[in-house]
Amino acid sequence: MFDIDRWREIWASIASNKLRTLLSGMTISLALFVFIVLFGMGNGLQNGFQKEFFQAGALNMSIFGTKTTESHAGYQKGRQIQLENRDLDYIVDNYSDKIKYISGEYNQMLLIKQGGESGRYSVNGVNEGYFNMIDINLEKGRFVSDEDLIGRKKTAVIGRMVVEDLMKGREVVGQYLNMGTGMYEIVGVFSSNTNDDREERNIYVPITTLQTIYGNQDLPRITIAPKDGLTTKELGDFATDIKSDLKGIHKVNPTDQGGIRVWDSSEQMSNTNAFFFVLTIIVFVIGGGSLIAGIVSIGNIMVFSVKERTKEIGIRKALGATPRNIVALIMQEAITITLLFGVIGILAATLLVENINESLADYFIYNPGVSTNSLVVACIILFVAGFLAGFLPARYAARIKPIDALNDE
Amino acid sequence: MIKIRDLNKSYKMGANSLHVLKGINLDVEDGEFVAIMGASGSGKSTLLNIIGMLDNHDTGLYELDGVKIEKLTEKKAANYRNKFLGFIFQSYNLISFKNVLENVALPLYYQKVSRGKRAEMAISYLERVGLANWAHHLPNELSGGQKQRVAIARALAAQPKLLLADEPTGALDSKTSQEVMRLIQEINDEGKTILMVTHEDDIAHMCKRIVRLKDGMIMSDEKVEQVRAVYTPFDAQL
Repeated sequence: MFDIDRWREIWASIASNKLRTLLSGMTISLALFVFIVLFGMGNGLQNGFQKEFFQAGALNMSIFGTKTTESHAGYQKGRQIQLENRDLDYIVDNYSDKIKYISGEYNQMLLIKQGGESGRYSVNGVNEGYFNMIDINLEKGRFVSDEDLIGRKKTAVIGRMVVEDLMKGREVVGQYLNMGTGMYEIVGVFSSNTNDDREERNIYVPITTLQTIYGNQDLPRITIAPKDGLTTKELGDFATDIKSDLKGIHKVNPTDQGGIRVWDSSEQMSNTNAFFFVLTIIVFVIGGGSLIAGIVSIGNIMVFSVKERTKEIGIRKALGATPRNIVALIMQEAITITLLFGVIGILAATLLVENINESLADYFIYNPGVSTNSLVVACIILFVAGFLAGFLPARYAARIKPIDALNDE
Repeated sequence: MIKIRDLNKSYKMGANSLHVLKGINLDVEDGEFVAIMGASGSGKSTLLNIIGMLDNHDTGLYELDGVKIEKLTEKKAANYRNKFLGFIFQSYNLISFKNVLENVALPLYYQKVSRGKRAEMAISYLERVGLANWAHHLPNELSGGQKQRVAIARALAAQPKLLLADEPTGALDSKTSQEVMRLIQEINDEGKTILMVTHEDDIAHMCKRIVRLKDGMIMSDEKVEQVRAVYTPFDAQL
C-alpha cells in the first residue's frame, strides 16, 4: 500500500496546488507550534516556581494540638490536646533520619518596655535549631544557645524593627528589655533576608524559659524542617506517620479529624499543583482548539482535492479501484500532509523552547522544555488528526459513482 | 458471452421518472464485434454503462460469461470490472499526472500485480499499439490519436473478456479515426469481444453487427459486412 507509486501520487496531488496545501498545512504547523511552546513555557513556569518557593522554610512542617471531636479511650470529646517536651523528644528519637532541624514554639504577645518606649510584640520561645529554619540573618551578637535553654536564662534575640521602634540608634546587645515577666538580656539582633517587616518585629527567647515561667512542659507548636531531597510523597507520609504516632501517645482516636493537627507543605504544594493543573488545562484547550482548526483546514482542502479529482477517481473505479482503495488514497494524502506540517511545527517550537533556557529566569521560567514522551504523543495526535481530516472527504470520494464521475466536466 | 433479457432502467429526476431502457433483449457471442447505434437519449450509453457495470439495471436479466450480474456492491462491481472488462472512452480518460506506462499499468495495479511484472506487461501492450517509445511521456504531450491508443493499451492490459468502447473516435479527425479503428479491428481479429457505442454510421459499419436503439428499445439488430479501416503504417509523429 505504501509503494513508491502511492508516494508519487500524493506528491503529485500536493504539487498540483502548492499554495493551497501550504496555507492549510501552516495552520497545523502553527497549532502544534503554539501548543508545544505554551506547554514548554508552562513546564518552565512550574520549574521556576518550584525553584523559588521550595527554598528555606517552605517545606517546614508544623504540629500542634487541638480539641478532639470524638470520645475515645475513656476520654470525652472536646478535650484539648497539648503537645509537650516529651513529644518533641519522641519525634527526635524516632524520625531523626527525616529531620534536618526541629524546634518547639511557644508564642505569647507581650508588652515590651524599654526606656520610655513600649509596644506589644510577639515573643516566641524556641529551641536553638529554630534559627536555621527561618530566613534571617544575624546582624549582631548571637542566637539563643543550648546553655540558655538548659539554664532557662532570660535571654532574647530581637528583630531589627524592634530596635527601630524602641531603641533607635543605640547599641542594644547587652541591654535589657522589660518583657512583662521579667528583664531579658538582649544577646543578638537579626534582620529578615526577605525584608519581612513582620519577621523583624519578632523576639526570640529560649522555650524552656517560657515554660518555667508558665509552669508547664507545654509545646504549643512543634516545627520541623525535613531533610533535603525528600519527595512530596515521602513528606506526606512523614506528616501522616507523625500525626498517627502522636494521636496514639495522646490517646486520640485515629479517625478523629481533630486532636493532633499537622500542617505541612503538601497542602501548600497541592494548591500550587492545583494552579498548574488549571494552567495545563488552559494550554491543552488552546492547543486543542488550534489543532481542531487545523484539522478543519486540512479537511477543507481535501474536499477541494476530491472534487477536483472526481474524474480521476471515476477512472480508477472503472479500472477496478474498490471504495476501500479510494478511501486509502485520500486518507494517505491527508495524513501525510498533517504529519509533514505538524512535524515542522513541532521542530520549530522545540528549537525555540530549548534555546530559551536562562533568558526568562526573571519571569520565573526556568528550564522550559518538553519531554520526548510528549513529543511522541504529539505525533500520534497528529496522525489521528490527519485521519480525522481525511475521513469525511474520503467517504465522499468512495461514494462517487463512476459514471457520474466520468461524465464530469 | 453476454445475455440480456427484458432489461429495464429508469432514472429518477426529482418527482419524475425517466424510463430509459424498455425491455432490452440482446445476445452477444464470444468474438463478436457489435456496434450500438442510436440518437441522443436513445439509451445507448445507459445500456453500455449497465453492461460495463458502471450502473445497475432495475429489472431484467444480465449475464456476463455465465455470471449473473445483479445489484452489485461497489466493491464487487470494481472487482468484476477489473477482471472482465476493458473501457475505451471518447475523452480518453487518462490520468494526467501519471506517465503513459503508469496509465497502462493501472488496471494491473488494481489486480495486485507486482511492480516489475506490471511494467513488463504494460510495455508489451504499448508495443502492440505502437507507442512503446512514449512510455515515459505524460498524456498532455500526446496527440488525441496517441492518447486513444494508450487508452486502448490500458483496456487490453487487464486481459478482459470484453472491451467496451464509448464513441472511441468521437474526438478524433477522420484520418486518426481510421488509425484507431484499424487497431480496434485488429484486436477483434485476434478474438476479443468488442461492444462499441457510436452515432457515426461509417464507424458502425467497421463493426460486424449493428444494433439500433430508439427510445429505449431495440429497433433493429443485423449483421453487416465489415468495412476495413484504411491501412496506414503507424506514424510515431501522429
